[in-house]
Amino acid sequence: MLKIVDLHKSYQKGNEVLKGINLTVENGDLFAFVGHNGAGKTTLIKCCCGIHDFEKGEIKINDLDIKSNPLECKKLIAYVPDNPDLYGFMTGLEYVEFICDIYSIPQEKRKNKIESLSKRLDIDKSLGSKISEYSHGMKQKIALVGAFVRDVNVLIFDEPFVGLDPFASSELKKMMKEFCETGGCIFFSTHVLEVAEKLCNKVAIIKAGEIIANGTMKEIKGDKTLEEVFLAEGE
Amino acid sequence: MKNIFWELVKINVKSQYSMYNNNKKYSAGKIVLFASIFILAMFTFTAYTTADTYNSAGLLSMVVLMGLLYAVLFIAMNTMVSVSKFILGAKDYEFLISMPIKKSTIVLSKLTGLLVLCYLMMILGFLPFLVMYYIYAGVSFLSLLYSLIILIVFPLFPLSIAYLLWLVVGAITRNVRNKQAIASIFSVLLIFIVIFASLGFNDVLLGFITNSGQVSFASVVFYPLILASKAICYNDLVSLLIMVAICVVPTALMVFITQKYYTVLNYIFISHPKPKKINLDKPKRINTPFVALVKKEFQHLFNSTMYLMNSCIGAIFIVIGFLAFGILYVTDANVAMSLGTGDLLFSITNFYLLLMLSISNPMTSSISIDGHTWWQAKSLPVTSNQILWSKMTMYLIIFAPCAIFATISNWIFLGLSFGQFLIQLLLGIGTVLCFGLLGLIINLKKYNFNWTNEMVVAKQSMPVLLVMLIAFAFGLGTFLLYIGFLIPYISAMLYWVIITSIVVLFSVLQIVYLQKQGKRIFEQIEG
Repeated sequence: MLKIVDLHKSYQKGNEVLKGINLTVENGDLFAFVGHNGAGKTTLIKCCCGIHDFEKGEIKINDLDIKSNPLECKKLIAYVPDNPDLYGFMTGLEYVEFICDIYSIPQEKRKNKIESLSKRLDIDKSLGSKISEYSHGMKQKIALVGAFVRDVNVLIFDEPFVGLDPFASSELKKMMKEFCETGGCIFFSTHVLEVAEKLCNKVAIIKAGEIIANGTMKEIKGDKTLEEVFLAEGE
Repeated sequence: MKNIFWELVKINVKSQYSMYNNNKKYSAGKIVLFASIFILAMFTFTAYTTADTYNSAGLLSMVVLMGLLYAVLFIAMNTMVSVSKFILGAKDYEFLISMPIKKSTIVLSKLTGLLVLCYLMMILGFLPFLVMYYIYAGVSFLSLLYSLIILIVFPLFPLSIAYLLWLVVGAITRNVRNKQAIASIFSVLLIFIVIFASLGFNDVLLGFITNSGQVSFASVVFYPLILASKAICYNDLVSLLIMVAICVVPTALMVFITQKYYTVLNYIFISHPKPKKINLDKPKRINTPFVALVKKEFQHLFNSTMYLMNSCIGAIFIVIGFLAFGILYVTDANVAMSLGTGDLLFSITNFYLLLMLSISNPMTSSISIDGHTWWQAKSLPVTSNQILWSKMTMYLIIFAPCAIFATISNWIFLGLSFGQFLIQLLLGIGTVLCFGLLGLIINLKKYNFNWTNEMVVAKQSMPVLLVMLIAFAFGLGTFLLYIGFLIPYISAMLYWVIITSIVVLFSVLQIVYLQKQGKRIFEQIEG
């Protein structure tokens, strides 16, 4: 579970990027987070992953506070950024093995997971190539393998579908659903509103650092499409 | 078209030495100026001691030869590092080739950009020696004119030879995995061939001074240098003309090949090797998070030519330098006599050790090296201390054995007592630890994740330059303090025990600082 309470964050004094964000992503939730460019989506996500510090409020991962227990919280989350700058000097396999080492995943389990995840995302044949040689989509795929290979409870993705081919995109949706069905939760930002609408049970809209809509998909969109709601809220 | 050419040259020079700093106080221009003054000061010092020594021996012309040798090494290294990233297989290749610009303009602007930097190397490496030569030998108009021609033309020789050799290496290693590491090893080997050839320097010198030297391996390797030195020292026009011809021919070949085969060469340098065969069933060693982090640091090092060259060549120089120093001491009575024995020898070797460690490590343990991948370290469940110490561990693994080797070599060849050996050992390791930590701490405060290539953070960054300068000043200061003032009052052993204790104490203080404040600073970094 991911819980954000009254979160405030600014990069410069007097210029708040996040203005009192409140969100709860329960176990089993597939939570989409939408907003304009520069609305504060990536900043919020980075705060949740412990990359950015924040002035006020709290972020809890399974009731653990990220400020007082950063290490324990990070053990429970996996994050994939919108532009995955991975270690280009490693091969895909070396990168995933590195992640497994950091998360102390046992040998047999990592072997099975790497094999199945890389096949599902169709990156298995490129595991032996250097990441620096990968295309954007391939980097996204290996970052996703690195995320799903961990035994974590919360997945946080920033624009996970960008650069993926239709096959991988469809497979990722299935993997996300499966993850939430087994008790995990996913919090992700996206600009593809159709995907959010079809895939997620909850959604939040952020505008200029404030949440302007938050709830179940049904509550938010009613009889309209998510795009119609988003455009109406954005005006 | 002329404007486009110079615009491209400007971009190429900037991209090779693109120094960004998140701290506005230290702009790129200031860093270049700072680095240049520092290097110039070091080489002026070396040139002065060399000129003084050779002048006493009546071999002043050797000073010019030495300066040219330094310039050749710098230019060759810089060229080899630059070819595969800035000229061929460069990131801007597809962009530039898609623009309405003549291929010849692109090629010539890239080569000119590289040549501009070669002139910088020539000024830094050769000019101090030339100035020292003129101070001792006096100035004549003809000699100055020849020197000017040599300053302009001579860099073309190491540039074109290194470039052509690199084309061969690039073609051979095009489908090889870890070609970056192989290429780095090759270039280091190449430089060592030149250094080892200099072991025949006496033959060259004899032939050079008397004009009756026989053809030897060294005389062949150093032929263009000998010609340039002859032109400067003896106003020899024939030597000058032959040297110009030697420089121009490979340059013309370099320009011709690059222009004609630019697309093919880029294809070769961009080409990716076949993926490594993987076997998931093969049992692998499971690393602890800390070991995984250290392994990651080494993987980065061995997969970047620039990073590896800038980091390891200094370490190799320490090993070779001290070995050669020891052998010379044993085999050459003049060297042994000039260095003396006992306290003086102990102090001189301590000074050399501190000096070599300061000038040979153009890399400090750095968080900046992570660049745009920085978010990973921040998002993974590892402590800041694990991250910081994984960087320090790599630094220590590279440089501490060098200090140990140098000390053992001094102990064996120079006959230091066991006590002196022990102090020198502690001093060496302590210095490595102390300045590695200092680099890391300065880097924490002046980090830079927006670099375009590893050279920016491994060699040209403010933390690296500051640490080099401080370490250099420390080595020189401690030595001069003892030799100049304290020698009548205090024994060498006691003095160096005190210095070692200061180094160890400062290291301990830095460790404490890193554990407490460093952790806090690290956690506040948002990249």
